[in-house]
Amino acid sequence: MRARGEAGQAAPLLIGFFVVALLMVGVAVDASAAYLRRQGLDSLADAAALAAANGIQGEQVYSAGLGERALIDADVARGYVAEHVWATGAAATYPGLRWRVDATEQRVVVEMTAPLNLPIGVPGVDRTAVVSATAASYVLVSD
Amino acid sequence: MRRRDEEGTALVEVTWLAVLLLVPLVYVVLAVYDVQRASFAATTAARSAGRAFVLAPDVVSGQARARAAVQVAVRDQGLETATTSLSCQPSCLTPGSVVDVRVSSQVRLPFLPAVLGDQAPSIRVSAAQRVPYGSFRQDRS
Repeated sequence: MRARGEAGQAAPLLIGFFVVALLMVGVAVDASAAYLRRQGLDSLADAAALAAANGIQGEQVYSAGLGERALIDADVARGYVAEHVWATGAAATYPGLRWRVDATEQRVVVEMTAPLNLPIGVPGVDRTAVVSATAASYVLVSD
Repeated sequence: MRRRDEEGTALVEVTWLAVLLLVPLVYVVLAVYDVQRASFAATTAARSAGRAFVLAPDVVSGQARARAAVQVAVRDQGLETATTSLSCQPSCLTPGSVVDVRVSSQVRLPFLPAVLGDQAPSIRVSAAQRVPYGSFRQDRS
């Protein structure tokens, strides 16, 4: 005679598969949310770096002139990045947005960092992730 | 001896559990991926349209290029169209101006009957991008 405990073995197996599949869907949704956030920050960093390239007006242009590459005033470039972020309302779109401007006379590098609350909690995975994006710009002088 | 009433129960369990659990799961997965595709298309379209516009030689060709960029990004994700709006502050392609690109599309949930028409449940996805036109660039307006 068959052991009694064997009845209904298929149900737990199927439910187990279902839970695994559900977790995988959760991971895929979280990953795509992080990717979308990354794309948004990438675009913002791109635009901010372009805005920072406006920071060529400054003392160095008057003292050193315009060469092949226009020299960038780091402080003015930082001001332009802050102004761009404010004008786009990015702080509201990406709560907790922080940015770092690494400006030298030759080029500006803008790094945007924002935390992301993952839409679906997966056990064993931290619910908040930090997403960052970097963009750089420099100014070529042409006529 | 085996009890008669246990025969074939696994098949029955698999069938009703599959209907109960797997069918909704597959539907949710398909719906999520449709929305995801549209979101990827919208963000890429807004970004490339903004860039295409500020690099164009004049406003008319800038708008045409931006629309073409949106079409490429949208078709890349297998979608038909997306609503695009372009606006410039203060005016297009003048030094120091900013171009604002908004791309949005309506994603219908999969497998809904065509009889619902425009009333079918759908999810709206959109993306916005602001691209500055350099202060020291030539006026192309």
